[in-house]
Amino acid sequence: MYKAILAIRYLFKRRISYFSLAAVALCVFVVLVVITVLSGLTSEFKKNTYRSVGDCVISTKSLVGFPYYDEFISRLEKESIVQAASPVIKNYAMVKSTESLNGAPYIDRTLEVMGVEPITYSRVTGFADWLVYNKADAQKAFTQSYDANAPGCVMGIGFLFQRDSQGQYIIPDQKPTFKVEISCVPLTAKGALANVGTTVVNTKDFAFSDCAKSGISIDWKTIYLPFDQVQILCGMGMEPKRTNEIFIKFEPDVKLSAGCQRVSQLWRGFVEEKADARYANLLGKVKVQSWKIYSRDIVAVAETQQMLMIMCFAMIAVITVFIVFVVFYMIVSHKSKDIGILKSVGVSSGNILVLFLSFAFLVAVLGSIIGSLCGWQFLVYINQIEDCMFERFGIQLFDRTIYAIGDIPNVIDIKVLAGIIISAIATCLIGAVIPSWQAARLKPIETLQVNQL
Amino acid sequence: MLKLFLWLRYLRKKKIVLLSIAAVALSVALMIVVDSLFTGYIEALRKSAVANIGDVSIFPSRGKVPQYEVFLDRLAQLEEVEAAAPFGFGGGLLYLETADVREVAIQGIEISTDIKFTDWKPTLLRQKNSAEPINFEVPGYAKTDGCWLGINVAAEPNEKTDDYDLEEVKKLIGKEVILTTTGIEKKRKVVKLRVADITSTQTYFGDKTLYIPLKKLNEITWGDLEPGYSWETKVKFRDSVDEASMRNIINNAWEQFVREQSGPNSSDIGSIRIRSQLEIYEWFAELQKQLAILMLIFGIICSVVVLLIFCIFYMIVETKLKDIAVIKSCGATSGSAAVIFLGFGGCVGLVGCGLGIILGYVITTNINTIEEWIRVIFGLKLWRSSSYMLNTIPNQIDWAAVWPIIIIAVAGCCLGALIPAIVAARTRPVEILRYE
Repeated sequence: MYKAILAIRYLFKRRISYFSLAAVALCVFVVLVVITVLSGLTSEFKKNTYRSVGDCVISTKSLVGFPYYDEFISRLEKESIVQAASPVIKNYAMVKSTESLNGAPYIDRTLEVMGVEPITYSRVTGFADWLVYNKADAQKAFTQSYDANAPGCVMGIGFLFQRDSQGQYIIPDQKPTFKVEISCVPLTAKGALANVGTTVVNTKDFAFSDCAKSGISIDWKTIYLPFDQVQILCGMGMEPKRTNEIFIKFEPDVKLSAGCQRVSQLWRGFVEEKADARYANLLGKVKVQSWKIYSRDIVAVAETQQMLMIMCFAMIAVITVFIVFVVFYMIVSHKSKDIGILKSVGVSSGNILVLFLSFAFLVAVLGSIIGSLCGWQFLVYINQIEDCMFERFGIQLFDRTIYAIGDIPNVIDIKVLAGIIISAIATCLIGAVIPSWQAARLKPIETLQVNQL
Repeated sequence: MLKLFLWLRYLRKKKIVLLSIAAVALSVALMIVVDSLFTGYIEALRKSAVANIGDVSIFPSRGKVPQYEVFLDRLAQLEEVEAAAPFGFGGGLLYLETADVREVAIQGIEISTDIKFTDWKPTLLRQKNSAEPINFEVPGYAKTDGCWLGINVAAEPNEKTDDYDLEEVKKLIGKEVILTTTGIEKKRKVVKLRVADITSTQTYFGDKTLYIPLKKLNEITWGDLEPGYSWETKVKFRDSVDEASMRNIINNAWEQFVREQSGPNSSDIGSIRIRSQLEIYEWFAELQKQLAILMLIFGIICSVVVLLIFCIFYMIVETKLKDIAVIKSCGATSGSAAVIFLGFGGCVGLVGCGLGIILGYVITTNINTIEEWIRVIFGLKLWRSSSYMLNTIPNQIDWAAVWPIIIIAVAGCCLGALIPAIVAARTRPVEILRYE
């Protein structure tokens, strides 16, 4: 009991301990705000990336692709772990506007083209939700009424419309009507050019049917076309027909690693079974990966930046350790007589150690509570603060015309908060351990002798 | 003299002061490293942008400029202008013999003028050690159209190391590639080229580009070989010229050029549109803002060092009250007593800054080695050219930012020492030194 009383007494009576409290609170506040914003952005980015590929991807880097995908998808669909699977063709295309545009910019550039079956692709990804004009109705993704001869195309919203200062796309009420000419380089199953002479490319006109807003970089570089059309454009339509990716979504209760392992096992069996089939060599170049590994190039950047920031904060924590150390060193040197009296009435060295470590714990907990409350309040109003700064001074934390984010993430993750508080407690205990140890080793006979008094 | 003696004595005798020095050094090092890396990154991107599009780019309103050499000569004569060169951009699909189709940016350059913007020679894998001037000639194919292939078009970097297998890449030299792009009257144009060399520009976009002679790009785009036309012109100015002056200088040069033209192509001359680098790369300003925010966050956290200094100095003052009283009883003023501790705070700041600069310098200049160690030990690749657009982490110290950091750090130390110094100044010898 005396330990708690003394710890509380030292905290409120020794004003110097307010400094360690302030240091802990300040660090907790800054770290909580920065990590919440950063991890909010990262998790939003990861969520959007996941929604663009599903749980597992069977893919090859070669643009030649691989055959017998439909047969394998049929097998996958019989598996209890698989909710949906969809073939996807990814390739590059020259895209050029051919007709006057209503509210859309002139396009003449190279883009990534994705051949998708809208219904199955929507079961695996968030495609249906990304559609702007036919929201949640994937069946109508490639439907347009103004040109019966041209198939529809869905364009990434980023290269079609501008964003306002709040990050919202300026979308005209009336759907633009225009056509684009799309050219791809078709390859044979052996990797040679399918067309020879001057007509190396396959070209076809498509009519704009919708645009897609996924919230990640594909919005700026991707155009979605009907799967069978891309198959023809890329030379993959000849028997055996080819694709270069299969996106798979697992049932909700399936663990990612277990699901990917099962698909991998199925794929190996499939490849062995098809060993003697035509173009079976193309199956050997195919990889089965989880969405995390498949998207590691883009996801890793966000995670690395978050980790670097945490490493920088860890360096700062060293300074907090120093502060706690100095404060406790001062308190111990001032309280040597108290310690002497306590020990002379029978308190053990261990209990003295516990007393000062409890005091450090109290400082850490109180500092963390103050820092967390301030951080929470700051995060609650962070978007209003940013809006106010933007209106009055034109300052925006993230320029929404450049960054694809809406509001600044401000939802505190309990795990993050717990991690920060535990780190703060550890920091205080580390800082206090040497002074506490010194206090425990003080001898009453030395501290209480007359010339010391 | 007495103050200096006491500062040195406290530095030597009071071991706890070393903690404040360490804290200052850590904070200063952190700020220097963060600022240098970020500033170096922005500067490297800016240099790359200057190499590609100059400080300003001039876009002719009618798509092309006749007799552009005359205009270039006019620009080159101006003392504010360091270099000017014609160039053209495009995009297309490139079929490689490795059965790969790549998305490429196409850049038409005129080697003789473009070398004032980019030192091409060290970037070319085949020609970098050649005594001959660099060119688009393909060894063994005298009359073939040659191109330089960005290394990222030619191959994919190693997933773990982000490095290229140069020997494998060099095998593409002399091979045929087929370019599909937009040609005359906006129609698809398919062109066969041979790889004359591979470029490794150390920038992601530079390495994803196909470089061809400007004349060849003009031929693809306009279908004629009429000399003296250029799409765009990039201009590099000397450091002292601001953006408004750049625009005035170019507009004046253009007006003079237009007045002088009276040939058969003079009707092709229209107006020009000038775009500065900042307009084209608006995210430079955004990066600067992010740097400012980052420095503010670290600045706030580093401000706890002020608290640390306060605690340490308060402790020292409390234990040295008798010294202070003796000094004051010998005639030292209260101001002198305060200056001892303020000066000591400044000393701690200076020593900490010195150590921080050394630490920051070592970390910054060896950042690529440190990154490589992290990759080898933890298998974690922190820097990828595809993510950060540069092949290596910029490792130059931003000396311009070091001075403000030092000044702020020393001021922070003095601020931390201020209250203890006041306590020292208010010490009354009669109270401290009395017998009882």
